[in-house]
Amino acid sequence: MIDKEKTKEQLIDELAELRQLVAVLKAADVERRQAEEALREFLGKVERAKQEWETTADSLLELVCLVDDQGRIIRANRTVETWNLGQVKKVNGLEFHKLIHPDCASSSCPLEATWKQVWEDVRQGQSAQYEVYDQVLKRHIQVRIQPWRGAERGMTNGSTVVVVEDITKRKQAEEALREYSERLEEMVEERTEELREAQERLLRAERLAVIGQLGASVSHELRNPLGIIKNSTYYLGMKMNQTDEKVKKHLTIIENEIARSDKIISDLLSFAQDTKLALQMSHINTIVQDALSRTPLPDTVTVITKLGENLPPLMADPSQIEQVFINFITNAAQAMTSSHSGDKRGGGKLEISTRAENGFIVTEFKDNGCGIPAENLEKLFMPLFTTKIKGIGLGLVVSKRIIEAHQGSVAVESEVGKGTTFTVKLPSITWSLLRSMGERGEE
Amino acid sequence: MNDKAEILIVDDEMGMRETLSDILEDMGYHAVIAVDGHQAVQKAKENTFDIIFMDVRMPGMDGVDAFKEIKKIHPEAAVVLMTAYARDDRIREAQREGVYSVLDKPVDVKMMISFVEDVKVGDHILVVDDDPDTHAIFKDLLKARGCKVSIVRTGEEAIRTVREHQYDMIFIAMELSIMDGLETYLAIKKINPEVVVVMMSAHPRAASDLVIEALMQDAYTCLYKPFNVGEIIRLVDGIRRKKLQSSE
Repeated sequence: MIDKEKTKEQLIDELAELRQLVAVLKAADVERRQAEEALREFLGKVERAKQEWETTADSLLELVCLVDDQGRIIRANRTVETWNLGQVKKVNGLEFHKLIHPDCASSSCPLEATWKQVWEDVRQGQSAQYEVYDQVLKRHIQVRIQPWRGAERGMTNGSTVVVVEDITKRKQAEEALREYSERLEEMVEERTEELREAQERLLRAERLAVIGQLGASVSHELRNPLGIIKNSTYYLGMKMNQTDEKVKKHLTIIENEIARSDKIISDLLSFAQDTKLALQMSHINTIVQDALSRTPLPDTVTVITKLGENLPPLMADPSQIEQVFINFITNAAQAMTSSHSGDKRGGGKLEISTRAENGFIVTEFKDNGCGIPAENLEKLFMPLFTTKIKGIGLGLVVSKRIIEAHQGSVAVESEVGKGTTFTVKLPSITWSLLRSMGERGEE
Repeated sequence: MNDKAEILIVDDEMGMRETLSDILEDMGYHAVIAVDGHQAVQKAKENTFDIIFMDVRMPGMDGVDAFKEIKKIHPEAAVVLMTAYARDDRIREAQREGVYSVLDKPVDVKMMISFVEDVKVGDHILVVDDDPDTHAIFKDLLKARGCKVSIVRTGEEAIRTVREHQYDMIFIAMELSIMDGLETYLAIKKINPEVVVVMMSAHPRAASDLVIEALMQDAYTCLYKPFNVGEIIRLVDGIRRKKLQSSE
């Protein structure tokens, strides 16, 4: 009874032990749960880290692959899909060449050939890089192959990282730059040419300015001796009025030559100085008639005038416009009597006409002389250009300047062998001109 | 020439002095020469000249200064400047101060002689205007140049006097009472088609139709008030030059 029946004390002790055991077990269970919780948390972090890293790789614009020691793809980023090379999950085990060129069997494919060239170096742990234009992708690509550092961390299944970058835009930019730099050379050449021309123009302008200044001072100085010769001739003319014809002839020759010298001097001076106009209300027809009466013309030249009736007046410096017209008439006469027009047995015909046209008075000088070749036509109003044996080539320049000072214009049309037409347009009187006349004070 | 015109020729160049004085002497005038501005002033003190032809650029006293000095002695003296150079500010200054005319070298001898004749005889000019300012300007300007100036105030008076007298130039204002300038001009033109007529106006806009009509009817030109002294001299000289050319 004693063996089977435990004492009350014994039972109390056993119960205490059991209670202790339950407490231990409960504590162990808490610990386990805590451990499980920690593990779940850890696995969550690992998954998150993996996703983060994959997303990072997928965010790259480059195609990034991890390749094993046989050159087969282990892993690739999402760019495979954006470049339409297949699905990320299905590219495992493909060789790089097959990934890019799925249908290409040629071992001489440039992509494959280059890959093979660098592969041995890559196997030795060196990095490689090359650029090709890929026919399939239709893009310029740059392939960069880097040793994988997995081995350093005890991982052996991968050996190489391959990064493929689309460099089409860069290549295009480079190409554009190259073309531009080639074009640049052309442009530099063009600009140099322009610069040279500008310099020539400048030199020409400078030379003209110097000629102008020199011409002006020489002209002024010549006016005194020329004036004295003119006076002497005048005196001799007075005294020898009754002597023989030859003396008279020679006096006339001297007078004409003085007049010619004076004309050259005046042209030079007009060229060197700013044109100053003494404007007054004038009639174009009077100016034409005055100019004609003052221009000596050879007998072989016939002048026909067709002067418009009731033409409005114009504001002009009549003596300067007269000079311009004398110049045109003289040029026409020379064009009609020069050797080039020698076949015109009937002699020259100069037609001078005036008319009103849109606020302008138009005066035309139309001759049937030798004409002006097209290449000379544009140079006609350039200083020092002349086709005449005599003359320094300032007459037309000065004429143009005087016409333009009147707010007018001059144009020329010509055909070799048929003749030349000079057309002068001068503004006729207008309201505003009249008003400004009334408002203007002392000069 | 009943009494010889007295002429002074001033130029530092012997050739110029000699040729001009020989020509003028041979034509029956009396020519005195001076070699520079100082001598010219000296000669002007000793004698009265009808007209003085004076070079502008001379050593010592130049032509413009000599002209001013001579004007102090003889305010009525007719001085013609001769220049081989541009019409610069000095010459414009002289023009404002009443120089008779300016000739460019080589000088036009016929023009010189016409000046000599005019100083003695003078153009006869008719002015038709009721504006006292116009009267004053023409009297001062043209009397100093030896012209005879007659002034009338209306078109009717003008027509009467043109019937009775020969004029070289007529200046007619557009703005006249009763008969206007254009009517006056057309009437005068019928009486004397040869006379040179210059229109004058103070109202370019209001008178423009009439002015254009007058010009189309061969009036010489139109002057606008206020007058520019140089403009009138230039105009009168221009008319004279044209007459000389057409009489050649």
